[in-house]
Amino acid sequence: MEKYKKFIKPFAYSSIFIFFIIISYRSAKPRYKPDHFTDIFKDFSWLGNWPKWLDFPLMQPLNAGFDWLIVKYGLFFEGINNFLLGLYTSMKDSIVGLPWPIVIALVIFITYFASGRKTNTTIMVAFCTFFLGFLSPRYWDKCIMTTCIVIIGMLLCIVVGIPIGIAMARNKKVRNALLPILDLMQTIPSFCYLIPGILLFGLGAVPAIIAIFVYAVPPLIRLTDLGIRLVDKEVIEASEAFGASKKQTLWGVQIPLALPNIMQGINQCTMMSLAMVVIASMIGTRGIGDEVLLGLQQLNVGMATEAGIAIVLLAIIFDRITQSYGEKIQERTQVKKKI
Amino acid sequence: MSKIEIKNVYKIFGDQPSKVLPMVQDGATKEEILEKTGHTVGLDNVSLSIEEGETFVCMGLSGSGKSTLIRHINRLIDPTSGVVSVEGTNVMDLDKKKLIEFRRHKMSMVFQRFGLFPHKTVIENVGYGLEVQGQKPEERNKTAMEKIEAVGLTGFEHQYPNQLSGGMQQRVGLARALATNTDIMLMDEAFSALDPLIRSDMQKQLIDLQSELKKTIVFITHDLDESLRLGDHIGILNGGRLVQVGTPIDIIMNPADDYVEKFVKDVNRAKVIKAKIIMTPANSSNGVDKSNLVKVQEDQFLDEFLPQVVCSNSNCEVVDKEGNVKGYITQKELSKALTKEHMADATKPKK
Amino acid sequence: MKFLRNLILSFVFAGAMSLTTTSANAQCKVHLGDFDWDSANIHTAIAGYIIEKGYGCKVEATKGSTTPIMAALFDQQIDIITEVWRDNLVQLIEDNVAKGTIVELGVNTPSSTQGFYVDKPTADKYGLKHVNDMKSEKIAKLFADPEAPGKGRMTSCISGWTCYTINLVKHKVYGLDKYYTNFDPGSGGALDAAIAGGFKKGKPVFSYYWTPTGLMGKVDLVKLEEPKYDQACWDKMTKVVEDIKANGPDVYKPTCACEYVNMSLTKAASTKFASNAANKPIIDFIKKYSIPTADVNKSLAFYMDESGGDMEATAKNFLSSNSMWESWVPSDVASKVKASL
Repeated sequence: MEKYKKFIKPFAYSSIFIFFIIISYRSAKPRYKPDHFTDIFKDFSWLGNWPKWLDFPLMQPLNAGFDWLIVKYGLFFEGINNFLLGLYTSMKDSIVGLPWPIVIALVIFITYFASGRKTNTTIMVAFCTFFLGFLSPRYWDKCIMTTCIVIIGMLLCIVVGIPIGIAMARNKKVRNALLPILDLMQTIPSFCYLIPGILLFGLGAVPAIIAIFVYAVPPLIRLTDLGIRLVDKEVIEASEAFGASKKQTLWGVQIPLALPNIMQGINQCTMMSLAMVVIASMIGTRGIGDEVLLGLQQLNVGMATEAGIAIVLLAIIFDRITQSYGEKIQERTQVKKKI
Repeated sequence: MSKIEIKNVYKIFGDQPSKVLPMVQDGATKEEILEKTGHTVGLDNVSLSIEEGETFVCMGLSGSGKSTLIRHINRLIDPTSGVVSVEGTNVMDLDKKKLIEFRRHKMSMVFQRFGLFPHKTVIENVGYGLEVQGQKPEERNKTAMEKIEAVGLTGFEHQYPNQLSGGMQQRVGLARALATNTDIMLMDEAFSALDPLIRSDMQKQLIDLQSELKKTIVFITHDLDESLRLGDHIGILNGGRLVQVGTPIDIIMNPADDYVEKFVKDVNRAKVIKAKIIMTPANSSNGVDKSNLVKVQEDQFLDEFLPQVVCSNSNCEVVDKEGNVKGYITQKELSKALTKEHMADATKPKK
Repeated sequence: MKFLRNLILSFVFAGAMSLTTTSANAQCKVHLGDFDWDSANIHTAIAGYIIEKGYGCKVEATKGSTTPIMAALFDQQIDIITEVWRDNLVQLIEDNVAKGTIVELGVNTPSSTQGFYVDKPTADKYGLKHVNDMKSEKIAKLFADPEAPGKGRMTSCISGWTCYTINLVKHKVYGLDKYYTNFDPGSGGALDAAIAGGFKKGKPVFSYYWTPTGLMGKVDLVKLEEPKYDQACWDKMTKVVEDIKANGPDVYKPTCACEYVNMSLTKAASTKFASNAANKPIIDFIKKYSIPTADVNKSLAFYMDESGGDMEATAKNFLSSNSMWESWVPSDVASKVKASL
């Protein structure tokens, strides 16, 4: 029995492969096939150009599955849609409703405390914020819209991504199962989920938030996983040896020590969210990305560049706030080897 | 009943340890197993017992399995086969909850690279064992402060570990282990990462603490001098096998095999042999010249009084803690003691 | 050794392969220009099929967006384009015709329409026929814009396109702006997806759209009536539109507005290709080539739903289910094409 064991896997794989080929042949349209399947062993002309019967029928089931999803879970997606949209509109409306100097003051306040009272960072962020409106008054509200979408997308990433990252770090099987999915999420072209996103959620902010999630959550998950696994093994052992439960070890030791990495993940997540929200202007998401798109569509290079600068400023603001918060944490937890 | 009992413990690292176990039990060596199956043998049929209140030192070179062994005692590692029992309880019988209780109240641990929590202050580190037990901050800080004082770190309690030197960090580790007030203390190469001077200090501190606290200590080291100085009993591991267990004197004079022999070859005997071991008992000391005596404690090592005795050209009177005369050591005996042959003679009857 | 064997094997194999590929000895070669929207793809496929099977020429098609493909035509690199949105490119085309770089070959699709559409179920239920029927809060609620409480949403043109501004002006003139947002979907794909998604979920759809498109063959949209097209009115509106495009929506002035004029999609060839006498039969064929909007929509629907994304099969389906094309070509060519179907 042992002897044959090593043949099982290759056998299974090759039977699946043959099964796929049979499926593709069976599902091919009659006009693409030879009259009888034995003909393919007599006439080898199909070895020249890729034969049309050798076509794995993936598109139809995917379409059917997608339609089924819309019909069957329409209400479910509607619920998500309404929830995220409600969050977005209330956030956007309340910030847009504020006088602009108050918004700038708010940004200064947040930066000052997040960065651990660093004056330089605060002044820089304040200037960047001022310049958003200064570049063009119509950018101000659009930047707020973009910011709201990025923040909601980020919150979604954090709420879902960090627990998944933790689960990955603690369980090898979970990690092995999720890694290919993360790879897929990072490599699949964004339009592959932007357009279906419209079918599910309609035009506007929500498909953008979903797209942000798909695009920006992988680095956060990866860095959370990495951060937790990088925590000194002896420190974990110490915690366990003193009778800490898994939960106590996680919250008291692993997460605090992984926090610099997690913050790095959140920072990356923010930057990628911003990149995506600009792309999402192509699916009707309003925000500063519109202006770039409009500039490009009208071949108005100046307009596109001006809006591009606004996006860079927005990126600097986000980066400085999240980064400096991360640095503040890092200073506290850094393990300096001093033996 | 011994405090800690380890019986026929095997530990094999790899994907399918239970499949490899029979091979190991049939006597295959570590190297053979690794080559044939890709598994690493951590422990190979280790049995030993550790008595209450003693310091048991487990010694071996790196890769000998000593760190693996100590982690079996608090079940940070599960054995592939065999029994580890502490105070009569088989640790493998403990469920998750009981294991946590067991770790909280029965034993504490000190780590080679200290295993301190870099995001916690000294006092928080020391109080960690109490924190996980659910003690209130005021309560656990009080205990923690006592222990910080005991290891001489008063004034540093609000510093973070990375602000302290290595020696100070390990004192924090020691204080943390003491804070839970457990009977058993596991020390995994606790002093190996420290420089020699500080190490010697820490050893002395441990001996002093131990003479008061009388805990059961399992101490792991790769340093023979350290094991001879601290251990009541010493177990020597090689390639996952326990090659010899005995008192320091046993080990030095009757090395079980070449491996142990190599270890003990360069040992400074004067540092290891205590006065009581080579003395002539008081009741058979008729021929000893008692005119010019130096008083020594029975537990003193030879090197502690050797210079004094040699300079004053006198004999020694060995007394116990209460001052009762237990025996005598002549100059001749003293010089003999520092050569191997004599040692073998002198300790033979004890075997 | 093993490497050598593999090397030899691969050479033998490659040799065998080269024998099996058909060595079509094409006397002529036609380079078609194609665009990245599906009605253009259909025409390229149908015309290409006839040229290849009927005239025995080798056909090569290059697909791209408007600017590069038109530039390639002017540069004589592309021979024929079968669907040109002439009205969008009037200036460019007229300049090039004047320069003598291209030759126009007449109308392909006689009437391409643009306008405001509502899905049929909703239109029937609420009797929506004219844009004025939309002006009610009750109706606006059907098309609620989730991001603009209290308003409906009309999915409009992409904001970079002129039609977005035209729609903006029309909204104001018709008084729709009180009830609806003129919503920029961001891209053509997103506009299609918004309409398709609405139909899939059975939700009311109110959108700017145009024909011929593949989607139009699949969904049931009703065009809302607007004031009849009138050149003077349109010109007046265009002035306002151009002003807004240059100076922003604040410069809006009340104006007249009317429906979009029906555009003709045309065909064109490079002068180099058209002036070559050997190509005359093909030029004659292209000149006659014309398919009504409804049939283009039908073919597009077939392409999307039945062909499995196979343009050639779609072309064959068109040729075998219609006979209009037989009058475009001499009978011998027609029979050759028929034989190949």
